[in-house]
This record gives sequence, structure tokens and C-alpha cells, in this order.
Amino acid sequence: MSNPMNYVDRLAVRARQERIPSVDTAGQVLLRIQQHQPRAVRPLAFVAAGSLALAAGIAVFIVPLIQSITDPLAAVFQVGAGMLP
Amino acid sequence: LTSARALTIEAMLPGVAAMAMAFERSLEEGRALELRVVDSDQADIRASLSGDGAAYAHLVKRYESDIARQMWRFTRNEEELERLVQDVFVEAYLSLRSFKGHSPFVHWLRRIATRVGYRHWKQRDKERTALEQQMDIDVDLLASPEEQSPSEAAEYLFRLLERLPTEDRLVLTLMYFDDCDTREIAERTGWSRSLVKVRAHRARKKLKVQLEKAGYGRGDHE
Repeated sequence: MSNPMNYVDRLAVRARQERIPSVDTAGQVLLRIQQHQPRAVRPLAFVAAGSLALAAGIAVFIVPLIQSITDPLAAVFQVGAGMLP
Repeated sequence: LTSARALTIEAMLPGVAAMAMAFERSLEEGRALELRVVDSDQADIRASLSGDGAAYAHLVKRYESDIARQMWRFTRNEEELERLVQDVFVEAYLSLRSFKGHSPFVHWLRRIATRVGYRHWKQRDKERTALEQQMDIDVDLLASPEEQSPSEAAEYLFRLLERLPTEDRLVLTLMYFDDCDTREIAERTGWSRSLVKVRAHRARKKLKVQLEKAGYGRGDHE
């Protein structure tokens, strides 16, 4: 029985002589690169802007809340200070 | 007789010397050409990085046939070939800053091409039905390679390797179609050389079993 791998080796020698279809891709490559760059940046910019707006909104509510927790008598002292001569 | 032989050798010597000189000259010319290509590659890469599209187009034109040859091992469809070659150059452009220039640009491109091709196969594997994957080898096609046209032989080898798991297929594709040794396969795939050797051995074994199962050796295939 002949060795099948010998057959594959001979097949490969023949296959390597094949002519490859020609391609012309430079134009399409440049077009895809141009389309790729803004598309990659734009969603990131939207996400960044959204995150910033959300963070600012949270900060407006959270900062006074933290102040009232860490110093609960501050409002009383401020009122008292106003009543002093 | 000895002196006659000596005379013949003496007469041949100028010819041999001339051949050796011509060979050396062609080697030097080859080296000079290689250096010129490397220089122009580096100039085009620098220009591309600073936003010169024309410079990148030069690089694409210089290497697209080389890359097309490689990608033709990953598909037999001309439309897919065009898209895969584009994928390689787009991916190369997007990671151009990571190219250090320690090896020729084309070697770096070939590594990207191998990655793109491998990904393409993985994608195709998901789409292929189980039935397609289990289809038997057509024994009638096992004609003598010398009787087949190169294109038929390539098509048939492609179909044979298609039945193997993707990693095995990749190793044998590089080995058979691109005539790569284990060092070059390791370089292109990023796998260690010992892993490549093990995979190649196992893949060849699997292929042999498949061919024997299909009846190779029972008929006359020589």
C-alpha cells in the first residue's frame, strides 16, 4: 500500500505552481482607513461627553449630601452666627 | 590519463571562475535591491505615519500580490480574496506604530495575514453545517497530481486540509502551500517551534487517516 502522505507531498508541489488571481486593493484600503478613523473616534467622544454630564449631575446632588453627613450642625451654626451681635 | 584529466580541469577553470564571479555579482545585486526595498519601505512607513495616504498606497501596491498569494491559501473565492487582502492592509495600517523595523516589513505583514486568515477560517467554521464538515473525501478525485492542473491540485489540497481542525489546517497550509519550515511557521503564527512540530506531526497523522479511510492506496493513485 502506497503512503498517502507521499501523494499529499506531490499534490503540494503541483499546487504551488498555481497562478494566483491578481488584486488591486490600494484604493479600497485607503477608503476603508479613512472611514475607519472617524467612526472609531465618534462613539468614544459621545460616551465621554455622556459620562461627563452624568458625573456633573451626580456631583451637584452628592456634594451637599456629603457635607450634611460629615458636618450635621453646620446649618445651625450658620443661623446662630447670623444672630450674634 | 591523469595528465589528460588535469588538462581538462585546467581548461574548465576559467569558465568555473567566470561563473562563480557572475553568481557573486548577482548575489550582490540582489542584496543591493533588497536594501533599496527596505529603505523605501521605511521612508513610506514614516510618511504614512505622518498621514501621507499616497505613501501607504505605495506600500500596498508593493506587497499586495505577495499577500494575495498568501490569502489565496485561506479562500478559493476571488471576492473573499480581495476583502481579505484589504483586511490585512487596513489592520497593518492601524497597528503601523507598533512596527519596530527589526525584521523586513513583508515579514510583519505576513504575520498579520496569517492572523486575518485564521480568523476568517474560524468565522467560516461557525457558519459551516455539521453535515458539510463530515462529508467524505471523493476517492475519484484522487488522481495522480502530475495529471492534474496546478489549479486543480491546489483546489483539491485545499479541500483535503479543510476537513482538519483550524490549528492543524493552518500548520499544514503553511507547510504545503507556502513551503514553510517549522521556524517560519512559528514566526508567522506566533506559536513556539516545538508546538508547531507537535501540531504538524498530529495534523499529518489525521490527514493520513482520512485519506486511508477514503480508500487511498486501495486503488491505483500513483
